[in-house]
Amino acid sequence: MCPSLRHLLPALLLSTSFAAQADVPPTGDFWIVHQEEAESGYRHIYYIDDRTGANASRPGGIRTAGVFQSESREGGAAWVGFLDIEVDCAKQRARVTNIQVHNDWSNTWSGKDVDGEWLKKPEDWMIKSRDFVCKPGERASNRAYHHLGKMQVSTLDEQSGAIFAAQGRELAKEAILKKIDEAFDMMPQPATGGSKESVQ
Amino acid sequence: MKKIIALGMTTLLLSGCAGMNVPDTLARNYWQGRPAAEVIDYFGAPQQIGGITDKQWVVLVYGYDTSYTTREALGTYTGPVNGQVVHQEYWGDVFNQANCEMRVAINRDRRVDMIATKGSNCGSIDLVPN
Repeated sequence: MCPSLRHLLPALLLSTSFAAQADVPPTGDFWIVHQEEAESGYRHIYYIDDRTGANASRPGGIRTAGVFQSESREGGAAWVGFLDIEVDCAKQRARVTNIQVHNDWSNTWSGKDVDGEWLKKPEDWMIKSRDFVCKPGERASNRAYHHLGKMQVSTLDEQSGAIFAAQGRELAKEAILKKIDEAFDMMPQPATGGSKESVQ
Repeated sequence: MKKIIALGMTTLLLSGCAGMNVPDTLARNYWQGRPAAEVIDYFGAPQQIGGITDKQWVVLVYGYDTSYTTREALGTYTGPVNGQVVHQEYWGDVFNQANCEMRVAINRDRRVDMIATKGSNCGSIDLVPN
């Protein structure tokens, strides 16, 4: 029986940039399973560790997985939460069995109460996580999933920051290109004559 | 072709041709025809976006602080020091305020038509990737 990924958290704490160096940082085989922009404006990335032995099977065809949630921050990323989930592939349902929430100020993780009920209206990240576990053959063709590979959790922390920074640059570039398009849309064609220079 | 370009530039530099902006020429040769997206990737977000209707250009305006420090002689002293007449020069760092503005003209194909700089010490800006 594979221990729940919650047991990685002490090592996770030791291996993040916030805390002291661990002797042997944990390593995972990480996939991005979902990305979103929250109402707060922060972006979130959800990772699953697909390392052999990380996901357990339970009686009744139930499978478990651990989901890391990362949030974009100025200059990098921050861990927001870690969730243990159970997935019933036959009935296409999933539930959260454990939540650990990270507090930036105190650099501590604390448990949050969960009711453990099968979710009737799962959020997008849960649907993607469920499908990731239940349909391994479709991972390569699903554009939502990105395989980052095997790495230490501390490296995943740095990768998150780099991903958010790249996304931020892309979003900023798209916004500028859109302004260029809008400027051309407003610009009279040469036949209307006249020379006009305007600066926004 | 490379030899002709190199010789041409060397001649111009040696002749001290007035009004010739070498960095602008290099930048124009590199950027002309490239997509606007590449300009943004390299230079980042512009400070302003303008338009020139008769040229059918959208112009991206970038401003840079190109101030620099030079080591200059600040003064001299000639007089007795320890019974001997000496001539001393005092050197110090002098701050030179400078600003450079770069304008990149984008045509309707969303490609660079022209790039130009104006201001002081524009040569200190990396106008093309290494």
